[in-house]
Amino acid sequence: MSQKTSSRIRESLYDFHKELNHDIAGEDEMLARGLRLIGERVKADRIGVFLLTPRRRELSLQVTLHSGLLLEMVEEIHLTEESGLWKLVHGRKKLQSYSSPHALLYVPLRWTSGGDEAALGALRFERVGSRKPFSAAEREFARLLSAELAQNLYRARVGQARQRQLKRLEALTDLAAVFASSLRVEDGLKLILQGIVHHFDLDRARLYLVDREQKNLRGELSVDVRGTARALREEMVPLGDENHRFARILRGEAPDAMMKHYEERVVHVPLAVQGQKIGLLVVDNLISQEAIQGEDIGLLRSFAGQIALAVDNGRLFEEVQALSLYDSLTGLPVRRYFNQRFQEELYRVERSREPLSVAMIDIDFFKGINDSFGHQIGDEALKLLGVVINNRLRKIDFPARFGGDEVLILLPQTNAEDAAMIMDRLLNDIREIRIPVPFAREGEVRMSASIGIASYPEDGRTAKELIARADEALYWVKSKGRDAVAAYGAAIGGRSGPGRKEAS
Amino acid sequence: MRELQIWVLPNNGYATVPTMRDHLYRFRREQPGGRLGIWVRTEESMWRHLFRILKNPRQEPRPDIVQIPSHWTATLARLGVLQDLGSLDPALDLGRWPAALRDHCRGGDGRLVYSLPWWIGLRVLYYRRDALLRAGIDPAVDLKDWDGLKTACRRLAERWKSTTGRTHPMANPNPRESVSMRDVAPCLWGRGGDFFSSDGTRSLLQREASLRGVADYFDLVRNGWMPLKGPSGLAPRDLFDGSCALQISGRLPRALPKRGAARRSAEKTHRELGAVPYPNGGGRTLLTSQNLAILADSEHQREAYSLVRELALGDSSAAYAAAIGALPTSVRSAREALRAYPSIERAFMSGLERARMFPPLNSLGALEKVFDRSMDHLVQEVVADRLDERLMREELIHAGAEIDTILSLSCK
Repeated sequence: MSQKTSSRIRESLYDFHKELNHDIAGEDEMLARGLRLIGERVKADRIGVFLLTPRRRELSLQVTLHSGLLLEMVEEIHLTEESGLWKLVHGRKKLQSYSSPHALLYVPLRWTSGGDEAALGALRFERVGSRKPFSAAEREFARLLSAELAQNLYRARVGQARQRQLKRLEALTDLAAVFASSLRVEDGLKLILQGIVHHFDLDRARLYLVDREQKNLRGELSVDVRGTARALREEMVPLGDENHRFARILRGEAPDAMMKHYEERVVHVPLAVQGQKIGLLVVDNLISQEAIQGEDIGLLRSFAGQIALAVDNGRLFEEVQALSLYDSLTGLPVRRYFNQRFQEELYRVERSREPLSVAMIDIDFFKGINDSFGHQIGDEALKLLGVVINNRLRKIDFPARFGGDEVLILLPQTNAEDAAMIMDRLLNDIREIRIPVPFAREGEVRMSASIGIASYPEDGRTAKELIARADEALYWVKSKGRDAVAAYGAAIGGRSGPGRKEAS
Repeated sequence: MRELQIWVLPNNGYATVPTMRDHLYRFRREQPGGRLGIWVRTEESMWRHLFRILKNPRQEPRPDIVQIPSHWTATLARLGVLQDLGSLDPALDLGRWPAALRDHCRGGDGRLVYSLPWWIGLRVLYYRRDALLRAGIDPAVDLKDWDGLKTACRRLAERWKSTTGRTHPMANPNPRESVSMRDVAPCLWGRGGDFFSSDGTRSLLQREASLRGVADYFDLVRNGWMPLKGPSGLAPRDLFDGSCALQISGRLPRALPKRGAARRSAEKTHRELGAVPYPNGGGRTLLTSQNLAILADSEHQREAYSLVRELALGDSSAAYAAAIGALPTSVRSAREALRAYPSIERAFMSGLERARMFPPLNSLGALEKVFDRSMDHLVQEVVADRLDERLMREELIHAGAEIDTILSLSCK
């Protein structure tokens, strides 16, 4: 190579280096820019970039510069250890050229730094029309350009990977915080699965939780690529199942051949708290068939500990909350919970102007039941009252044990007239209650109740006013002989209407 | 100024962009103010980019129109990637296409239309009359079934060699150095096997007949009759270049070079060309269709649809198919196109009558990838000279299990 040629090559290389070091977004852009710049420097009809897939021992054509256009063409080359291209890609050969069917030149795309190196692929230069072989100077220049492109490509890859990991870590931290502040476990789980699918570019994430009895793994929630959540309640796997993959994974058994077959596209992450398995997170790319990156799997596994802890805490919180919000005898919510819901409902009706009623129930002669048959029978009476109320009411109604034998029922979207009808039906059910008591005269105890109703806004606008009016209506019923329903407006307020029920 | 972006597959090799530009010259002249960006992507890259777009709303670049193999339609429509074309053209009528093609235009619910057929491919077995003559093979008699094909390959390997020694009995139709679902499908069907159960809920790859079909196809590779790659890392020259005696292909013969020795040589090859139906006993072959679709989030849907209409329904759609050596989508146009090739017309017409497409399953795009990956594994085993029936069976069982998982998940 003459001195003039080598100095021209040096200059051109320096320009190439400068232009490649501009702000380039990622690997694709780096390849596109690099190829165009190389195309301006080496005369060839086509220049193609092949990237190495080490696991498949394959060179696969990424992009080709042809007649000034960047095209993607299908071409893959299997490498065998004896082949010249294998040696070229792995640094044991500087270049490889052919003269048939036309002039071809391969140069390696290898990153080197100090003693480290990485095989990235190869560049192929083709002269299809002229078929003129590449001169020694051209070969050397192509090799140097390729080496420079490899340095930049490697840097772009590492930078991109770092940035991605950083973004995912930040996202996971945010997710953990959101989850921790979610009021309900279900909401939190949905958010966290949606976040995982979105930030890890996954097709789907599914969550299974071990039940309280530690017998089954139950499907909880699935979130798809569009973020749509779906309950998985129908899915249940007995933890002792010898054949089910999920059960085997939770038992810590080695992956089977099938799991190995699709390990790049499905990842199973067991969730454990203090060594106790509490669930399984399954994420997959089965539809896109894109491999889940090793570093992402590592991140997901480390994040699984946080999910497990949060799920466990959430469950515990719900249990405690359930214990404190519900009366253990009747199974009905307690007064504090009722007050909170009542207030929320009042805010809602103020905006919506929908009707709202509240009913107060008192078991007739409850003190007599206690005194005559003992507190055990009294408790049984309250328990059965709770069952009847829970069965009879609509889903939107909200009952609560108000104290002693008094029960309050919130009846949203219901005026006094409809409330009276609903309470009438409930009273009929209460009358059907039978408590077997061998030493009673009838061999059983029967029950009845007095019920007073107040409605928003005609009987009151605050919770306090409405409860007071319902209580007044209840006492009105009692004064008239008990075992009946009365609405405040009709009974005491002097308004007409069918809501009024005479005590029988 | 708006710029419509269309992503196409390499329909005409390195000439894909100029061919498209020539074809759309008149249309673009009639639509002043609009620019058209043409990207050529491989199937693999197209699939990957469409999923990137799905997963990241800010992903760039984004196309307005995409060319997709028809059996991706249901998968992509279900994920919400594609636009319902009926909403852009309430009068859209698929009646001009055969029922099999129409099924692949629709989404999972079977009602809405998400893509339109652009051109089709139909696999037949091409041969070179002179090569077969030299090896004593009568195509009409000896190439009726797979055993006949294998015998022919054996004889060609023994008796037909060019002076350069670069000839081989058969060319690999797969542009990748591999084997795909589309390659082995007719073989599998010929043996009475299948990929999926008729209700589309499970895989049938574990069946013996399916294994036999795959093994049949791999026999060509294992015996060295259909090499995967030439020594320079370039695909071996094929039947149309005169380097092979046989080739399964879904395309029409390549157009002749403009002038010179290459043209004379190609003319000679063309004169010697013949074709028989797919040699699997019944001649039941694979019909594939390349479709055009519009992305659901395209900002230029009206303009995109008028271009799709021009390409798929316009008068010149048959001309584009001819330019890239493919068959047009309507039976009438296909018949007309084949009239220009009397030596292969019968094989194609017989194929058209017995052709079959893949079933329009919701997740077929993904299922094909699973199968193709298994084929890649097997090809690697061939390269390493390790492929045996046990490995093949194991690979198909694993692929079948993964397919079953995907089918069960996509049914929910």
